[in-house]
Amino acid sequence: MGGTTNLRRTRSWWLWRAVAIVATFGILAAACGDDDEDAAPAETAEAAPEAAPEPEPAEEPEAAPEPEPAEEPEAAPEPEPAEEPEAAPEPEPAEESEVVGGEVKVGMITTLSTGAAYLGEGIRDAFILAFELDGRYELDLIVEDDGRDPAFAQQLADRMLTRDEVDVMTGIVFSNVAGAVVPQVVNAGTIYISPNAAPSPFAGAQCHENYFVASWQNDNQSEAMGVYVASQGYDSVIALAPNYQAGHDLVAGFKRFFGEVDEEIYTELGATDYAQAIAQIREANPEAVYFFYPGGMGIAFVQQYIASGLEIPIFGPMSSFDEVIVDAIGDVSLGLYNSSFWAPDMDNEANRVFVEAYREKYGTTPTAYAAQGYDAALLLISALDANGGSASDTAGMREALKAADFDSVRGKFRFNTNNHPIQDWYLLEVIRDPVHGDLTNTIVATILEDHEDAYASDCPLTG
Amino acid sequence: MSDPQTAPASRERTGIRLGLWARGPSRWHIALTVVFLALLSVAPLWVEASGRGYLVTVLTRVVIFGLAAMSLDFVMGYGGMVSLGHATFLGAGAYTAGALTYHSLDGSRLLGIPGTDQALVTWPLATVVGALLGLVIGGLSLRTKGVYFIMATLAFNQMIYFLFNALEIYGGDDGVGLFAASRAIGPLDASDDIVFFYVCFAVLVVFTVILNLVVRAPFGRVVRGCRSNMARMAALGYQTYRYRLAAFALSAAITSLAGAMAVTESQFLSPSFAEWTESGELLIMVIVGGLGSLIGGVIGAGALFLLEELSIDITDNWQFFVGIGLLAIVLGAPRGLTGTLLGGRRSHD
Amino acid sequence: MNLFIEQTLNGLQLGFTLLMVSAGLTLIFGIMNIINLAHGSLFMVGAFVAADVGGRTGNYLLALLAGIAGAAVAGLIVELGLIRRLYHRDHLYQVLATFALVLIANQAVQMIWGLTPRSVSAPAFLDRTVPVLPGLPYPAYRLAITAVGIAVIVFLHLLVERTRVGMWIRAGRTHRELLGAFGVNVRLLYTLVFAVGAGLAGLAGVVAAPFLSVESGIGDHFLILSFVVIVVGGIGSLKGALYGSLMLGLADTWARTYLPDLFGRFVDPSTAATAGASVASASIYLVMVVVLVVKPNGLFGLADE
Repeated sequence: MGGTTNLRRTRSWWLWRAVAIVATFGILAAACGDDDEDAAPAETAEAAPEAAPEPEPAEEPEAAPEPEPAEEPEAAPEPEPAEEPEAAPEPEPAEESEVVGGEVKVGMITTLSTGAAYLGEGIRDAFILAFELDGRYELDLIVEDDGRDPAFAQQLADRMLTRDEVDVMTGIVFSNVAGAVVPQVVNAGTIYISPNAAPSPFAGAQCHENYFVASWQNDNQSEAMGVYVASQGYDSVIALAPNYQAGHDLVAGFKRFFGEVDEEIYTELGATDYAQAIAQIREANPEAVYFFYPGGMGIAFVQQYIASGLEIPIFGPMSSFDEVIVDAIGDVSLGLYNSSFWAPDMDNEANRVFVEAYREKYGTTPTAYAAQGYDAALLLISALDANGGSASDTAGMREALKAADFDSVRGKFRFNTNNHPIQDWYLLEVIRDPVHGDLTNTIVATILEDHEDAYASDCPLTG
Repeated sequence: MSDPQTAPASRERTGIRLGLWARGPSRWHIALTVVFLALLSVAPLWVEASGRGYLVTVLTRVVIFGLAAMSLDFVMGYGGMVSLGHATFLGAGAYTAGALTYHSLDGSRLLGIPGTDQALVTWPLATVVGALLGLVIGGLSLRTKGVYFIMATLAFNQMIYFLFNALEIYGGDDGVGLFAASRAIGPLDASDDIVFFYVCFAVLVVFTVILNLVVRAPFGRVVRGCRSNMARMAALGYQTYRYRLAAFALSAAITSLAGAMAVTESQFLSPSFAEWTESGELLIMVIVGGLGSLIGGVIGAGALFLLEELSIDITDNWQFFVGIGLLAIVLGAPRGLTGTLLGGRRSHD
Repeated sequence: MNLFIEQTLNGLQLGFTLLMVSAGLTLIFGIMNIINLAHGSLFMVGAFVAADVGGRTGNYLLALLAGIAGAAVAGLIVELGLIRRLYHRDHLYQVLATFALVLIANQAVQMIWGLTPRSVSAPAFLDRTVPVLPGLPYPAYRLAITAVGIAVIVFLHLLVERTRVGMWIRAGRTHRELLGAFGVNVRLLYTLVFAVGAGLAGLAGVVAAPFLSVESGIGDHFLILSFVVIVVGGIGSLKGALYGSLMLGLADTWARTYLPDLFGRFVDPSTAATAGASVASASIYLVMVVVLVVKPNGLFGLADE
């Protein structure tokens, strides 16, 4: 097998490359997909047979699959457009000029992979549910998974803004992703409604008139627990969190109301083996442990903590004790305390409707993330109502959003000057649901009333 | 990569391969390069005219990552050094340019130097930093061969990645947005996406010419010779280590420049530029496009970005289909088709 | 002192978990000359199958066996369906093809088992602590992992050094082309080695599952670490895999424990905690670079490989 083989190989190699070029541009043309006669399909169709004879089918997979789907670019992944199951509940014809229902195009970047996938899932499902229950608007929802990667999410946002031209954006779970995406969105003049992440910089000096938070400011989650842990007479506490924006925010929030902690331990975001951190806790032997580990991290930490034989009491925000986590941990989580703005058994009409509908549709108790996604949708709907069903008037939307005229599942809800909520914070206990038998949280006390975040005064926005 | 298998079988064939490479790339190669670049040069106007202007930024990324893939192809396809650590240099360039930009926005100083977002300063500086880092990493890694070389470059990649993670000032793990930065390139304001595309494209053209000249120059011949048969080149009196190191540093410098361009493009600085998976992606671009062809890196980048762009719309499970597509390419492409470097080895027979 | 002992135990346990993954990887690499990036996916398959079976039956032993079997079967399918076609291809193509498998596997487990992370609980009789020293209780389960790891290395040592198959394996590492000449069914040998390696990866996935959240992509982290292990130890060398695993397990654990403290002497505690955590992650790669600079073929690698 001498020179000839190589020669032949080289020739077919160039052929392959030629095909690759044609295919690349074929794809490009297909992507550009306007219906010019000379556009992609013709070109690619020619390319394939020409190439086929002797260089092998390698090209096929590359060239073939692409062209056709390009034609319908916004084949929205899964959301069955929230359809009107039964016609709108408010039949007064007088109103119809104001609230006829229109179409709203929402870009949702959220986390649907990694151990935190269920966080994004809850937000997405509840968001869709809210529009379904309302029934008046056609929700064109474009959902993308950010994989918890800020840089990737930024590209997704770019695509949604420039290509899909969405009216509103929402969905981000992780604060580091929010840090990358939110400035880009709001600076482009698009409104962003956060259903979860609310990093401290955006509550203070970097706040923005297009940025609304339907959940809480990150620090808030821990502040209530800081008050509670201090009130229980604990002096020495170790705080643990993943090493990223929200981790730092939550530890800061805890310290703001508790005071200095003995030690802060930061672990890699997404890491699930906590043996080393647990050894450090054992060595320091504090009176209490405060930890923030959302999603799969929370399951892993608590399980290993219990297995380690440590008996120092542990406390955390809601994100460390949501329904999925406590269910995975099992009965040992019964009686543990955490802090939240909401619980599934919260006693108000909006919440009863939400929890029941969510259970019926998805078969599980909603998490707080779902409640946040639901409220984000209700907030959006209220603003659409106030603007005659159209999201096109950004100034009008801003004003209506700020008014926050909707029935939140948490009872009362209003915005501070920095567009972050002012709300009550509760002490929650993990219990077994008396009706459904699964583990869940219930409110046992109110810790902070009409609580706002610590950064609002740095925000130049008014009213 | 042929090194680990320097099994007797492949050694006896090296003479033939050297013969092939001594001839150098053909006229077809040049024609193809010119044609592809010409098509790429009109692509943004085309997509803009057809109302898909959002694709311009994708094309810009094709150009930038294509440049990085091309420089990786230079060490891999011509130098025989398979680096699974080129994201190191992408990151180094991004952090050089990004840090300067950050400090110019912030008004603070970096090691006593005021920051700037002037690309005519940040890009060349990133190139220099990349070259120096390439000398250090290449200098140590080139002591190893084959798979050990791959893993050594990966190890440096991870070290640099975690180093960037530790830079709290630039947001650590989270990275930092540089959205207020201008895209000034000399007196030119390239904040318009099309203008910026053509700036990047011009850089790509310049380096395509340079690299094509380099592989044909005496220096390039020696590097290619080292790939085929290091012992023979050494016997001919060449300091093979130095030639390989110089080639590696050149490649690192260009990749670093691409990193600086990428951060100017995205206006977001984060360690993900230096993640090892980014090294893997560059590798895939080179293979898909055609190893040992330079322009193949750009073609591969184009194919990959567009595949991603399209499949992301079709399905949530786009990674699944990218995986299937990749598998089809690997299995369907005949042995040696995409790379003469790797062709003809049958150590098991 | 207690901290040091506990962290050392943690390091050993991490090391032996790594050993279970990297032993298979190094055998496959050394004998078949295949770079298998999908080895981490086999780890993941083991964990998922165990989580599924464990969730259904509540029986850890059953989950363990199912996990090992599941990974071994998945390994067989991969070997027969794909790897076979890659024997004669360059490493680069093996990397690419198996990387494609990683993408496919990560998505496939999501399609099968959904997005919610799963968990495996430790068997009841190990779900307690053992007093290692006075005042230092340590989870029995983690000690058991160390024991399993030791058992695995002993088993492999006997297999390679004392059996006929082992003789082929040893011969295959140094004189691959001669095996066929001696009438050994090379294909069968390869398939066997691959399945054993896959089963070991599955075993690692199952035993590690109780302190992992079983989710898509969990094997990737172990895959990279295992590659580092086998390169540090020398490709194809079981002894190298053993020393490499323990070295890296301990280096990683100690660095994470003591680096933040060390940094704390120079900068404020919060910064030290965050920066120390990041730099500690790089420690094992530092070890690897030092080893490669001193011994370019790893600790126990063959000189001409």
